[in-house]
Amino acid sequence: MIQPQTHLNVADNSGARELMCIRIIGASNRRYAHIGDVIVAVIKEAVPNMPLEKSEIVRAVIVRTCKELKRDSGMIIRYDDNAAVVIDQEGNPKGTRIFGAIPRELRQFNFTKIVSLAPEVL
Amino acid sequence: MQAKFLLRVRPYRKAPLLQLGHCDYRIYVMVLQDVFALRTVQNSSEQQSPTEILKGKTILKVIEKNIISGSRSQRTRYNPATTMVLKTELCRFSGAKIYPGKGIRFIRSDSQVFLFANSKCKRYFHNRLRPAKLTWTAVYRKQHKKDIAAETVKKRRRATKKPYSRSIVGATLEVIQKRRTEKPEVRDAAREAALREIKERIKKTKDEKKAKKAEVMSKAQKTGKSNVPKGALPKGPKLGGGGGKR
Repeated sequence: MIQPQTHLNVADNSGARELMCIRIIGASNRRYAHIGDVIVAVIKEAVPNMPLEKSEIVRAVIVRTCKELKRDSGMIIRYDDNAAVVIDQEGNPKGTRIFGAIPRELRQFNFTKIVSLAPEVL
Repeated sequence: MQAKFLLRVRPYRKAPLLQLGHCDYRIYVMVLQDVFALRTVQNSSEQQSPTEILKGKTILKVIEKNIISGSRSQRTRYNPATTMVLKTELCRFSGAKIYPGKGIRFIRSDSQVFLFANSKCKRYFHNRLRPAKLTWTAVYRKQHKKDIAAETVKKRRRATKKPYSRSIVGATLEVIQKRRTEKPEVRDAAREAALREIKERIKKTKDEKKAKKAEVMSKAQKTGKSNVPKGALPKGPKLGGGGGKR
């Protein structure tokens, strides 16, 4: 349940450390974003000497939420933090490595590259 | 050709919903055991309705990662996220069984997965309570050795071995049985007899050696010169002694 003003960790090595959600892509008055949704975010904290800098506006896809993810099989998955992966307009990740566990749902949303880079897909 | 099935579980229902690839029957399978193994059902060209097939206790297999060969509409609906895991897991906190469709899975930031049977276990975990201190958890029960008597009895039962009653290459079954039923007195008597035999044999060879030696000595004295080389004499008794000792 990510909404504007939510701070998210960055789960890749694109250069950003922390993002703040500004807007949720999808519908005009969409309230919350869940895993697999694309958001517009501003970089609040960045790693020095990287292509991405602080206060830059980027798009990101949410990969982990503290709010539970419910699967059709009845399984409920809850992560420990809110995290996103910085992507470009097409949906390809800007970084080359992904950190942490990624849920399988991202494959359905056509973020196959993120899933393939993930160290663990749960 | 065999039909393959997608098993989808509706949450909050105890019986899973079974959707067959070829026909639109919906069958409710009761959960009978902890792990229900399923085997592929024959093609419906056999003209058996799915209920009949299940009554005959055929079990169905869910092939998780294969694409379902069914009608096209079913194929497009295949979704890896919805295939069910048909195995009960254990709660990390209480040790209770978690049936499919129940429980909460918590993935920590270090990618360690915790399974909880219900929100009670989850809540206690997050409040950092120790399961070893709560009487109702499996960890506590194991630590305080509750209900172990039944387990140890079971283990003892398993330990008793039956005497191996099969013929081996070296000895046929009758020989083995005969040996087994032999009384110790009989065995001792047989052993003694064998020993006696060996002793007699040794004695016999020794006597023979002595006799031979005496003959040779006497012959040597008569001739004055020892025609037989000295090496022969010591060789003789040694050879005989070696055989007897064996």
